[in-house]
Amino acid sequence: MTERRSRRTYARAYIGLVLLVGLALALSYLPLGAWGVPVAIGIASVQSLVIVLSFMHLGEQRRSNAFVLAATLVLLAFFIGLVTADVLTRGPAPPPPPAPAARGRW
Amino acid sequence: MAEAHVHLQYESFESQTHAARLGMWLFLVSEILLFAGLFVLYASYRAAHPQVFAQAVGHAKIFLGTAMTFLLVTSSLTATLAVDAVREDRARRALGWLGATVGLGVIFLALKGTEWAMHLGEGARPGIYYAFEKLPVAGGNAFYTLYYMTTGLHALHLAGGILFLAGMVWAVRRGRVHARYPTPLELGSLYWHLVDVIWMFLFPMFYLMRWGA
Repeated sequence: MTERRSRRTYARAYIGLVLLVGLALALSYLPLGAWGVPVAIGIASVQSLVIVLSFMHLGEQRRSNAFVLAATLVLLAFFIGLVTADVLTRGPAPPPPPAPAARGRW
Repeated sequence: MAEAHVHLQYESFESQTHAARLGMWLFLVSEILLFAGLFVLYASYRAAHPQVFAQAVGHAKIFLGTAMTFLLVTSSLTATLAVDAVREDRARRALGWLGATVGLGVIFLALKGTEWAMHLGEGARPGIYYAFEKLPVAGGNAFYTLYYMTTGLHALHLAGGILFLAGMVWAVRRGRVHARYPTPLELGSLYWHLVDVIWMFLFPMFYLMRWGA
């Protein structure tokens, strides 16, 4: 029966989400170093995928809806990735120009 | 009981429903891009002040944050079950699930308000009002300003969702939304799930990512 299968899917998705929240919380106490941020965002992404596919039924709708979301996520990746890369690759600020008295005459 | 009406420009009820869903997804991604601006700011300021940001996350009220996460995840389940119930023409069951969803959302807002009050009392205030002694102004100010802006924008969205679902309670009771026309509730629940998805990222950003302190 489709209804019972749906409710089982919802229950499984919910339990999966709860477990992932617990996992994220537990991992936050471990010394993951540079891996910490990608792991935490990765778990959040998996949780979002579970919500989008099971609760929001994206897979059962027409492909145009999934395309809209996928295109936005690509734009998001560029947006966050390139702006952060800009900040990370900035060198120190250039020195200020010399005071007027130190400049020669025209 | 009101029947669904197929508007003039649509071939069929099915194509009208698809147009409504596509339109809703387009609105949802515009909301994602709205939050994206704040996510970009967080990523950039964190790249510029990695230690202070990690320490600031260490000062988060992690118990409250975890409780709020469980509340929202549960509310997504109850919202889905409400749509399910409407599709099966079980109005009373749908009203129960809708009430649960709204209730969980209200409790979330109450906890969020409590948390804000705690932070503000400690001096962790936004913008020029920053006075948190435990963290330097450089990095700390940016973190807390972003914290209030992002969680505040999220709370506003949640409040909007609560109002809409409260409206759906009225619509289901009056028979305006039912098994042959569940679309408004379906779209409202899509919006609710987006608010949950956004929190899935806010939770690690402001409560969990203590690495690098």
